[in-house]
Amino acid sequence: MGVMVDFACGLAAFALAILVGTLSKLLADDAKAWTPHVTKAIIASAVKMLPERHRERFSEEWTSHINDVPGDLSKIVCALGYVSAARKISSAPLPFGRRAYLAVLGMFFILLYLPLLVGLLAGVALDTRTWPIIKQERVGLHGKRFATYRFRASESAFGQFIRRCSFDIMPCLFNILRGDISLFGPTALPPQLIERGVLVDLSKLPGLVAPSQEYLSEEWSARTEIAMISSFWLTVFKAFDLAPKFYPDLSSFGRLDVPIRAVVAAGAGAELSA
Amino acid sequence: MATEPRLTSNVLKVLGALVSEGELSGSEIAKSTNLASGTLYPLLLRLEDAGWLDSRWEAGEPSDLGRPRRRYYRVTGKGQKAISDVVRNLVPAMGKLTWA
Repeated sequence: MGVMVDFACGLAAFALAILVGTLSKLLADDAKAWTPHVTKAIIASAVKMLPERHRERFSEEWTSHINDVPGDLSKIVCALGYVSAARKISSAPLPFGRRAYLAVLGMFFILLYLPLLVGLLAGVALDTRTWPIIKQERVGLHGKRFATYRFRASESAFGQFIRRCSFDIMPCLFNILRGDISLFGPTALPPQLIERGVLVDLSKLPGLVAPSQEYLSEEWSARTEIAMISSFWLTVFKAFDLAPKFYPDLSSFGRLDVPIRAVVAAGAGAELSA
Repeated sequence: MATEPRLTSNVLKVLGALVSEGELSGSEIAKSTNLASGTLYPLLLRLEDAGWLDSRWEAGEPSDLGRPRRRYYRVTGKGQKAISDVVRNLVPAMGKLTWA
């Protein structure tokens, strides 16, 4: 009886070893067959994170590099490295001059509007009976995500008033100070919209005021005010030849009236051409 | 204008490999320096932006080669000068150490 049990156990172990061996071989073959697809998908997602101007180059360069790497596992590890590389390349800091310009600009407007900011903070807190500032995620330069802040605008008359005057965007001045956005540039969109395929130019620093926005409508708003004050100072800088490359592509302002175009263009050039 | 790159050990490894070999592709530099792809490519781009490296695609079209083209990197005159400056600054220091 004992001999029979030993024999059965041996047979089962043998069958299990055959099964495991076969399965391992199948899995290894499968993994080998899938490796090119996996690496291709990883490279594609890494390339998507890059600034537009680098995508074509690194797509080809990284694919050629992967071909030179021996071993399937090494190929996947190398491809994952491209994701890290893309992240580093896309989050490269702004040039010092631009960063300093934004810091000065942000500080200038924060100091200028400090009483208004404090007043709005208190007003919104009283109106909404909750924390007056909301935090939102936006996609910025080269796909970098950042947090932006707004005043909470309720459905009350006060809420509608601050929304109508664009006062709700005033805390975004701190984003200018931090270098996340500038005064002029494409609107920073939420990541959900970008993922849904809404087209936006991620190669430009987003702005508080986009060229096509309603900020030149007759109704006064904080956006208009900020744009106009900025334009004034930049016109002064330009007069003293202190504004580098401040000549915009005026075609962006096609819908605007010519005199207004001239005022806005003075301030918008550097933002839009950067 | 791009800021001048800092001379880290990784930068020196890449420059050293390119100076001794002349012109190398990204994969050859990675092999020679043991740098991971996540470190290597941002560094190459930074050095290229600073004008220390120059790069070009290998001759031929991908359709003729039957594979994607390699991109080759080489040290520019500005890069050579940066390396010379490092060597020039290091030699007197090493001399002092010898006599210390």
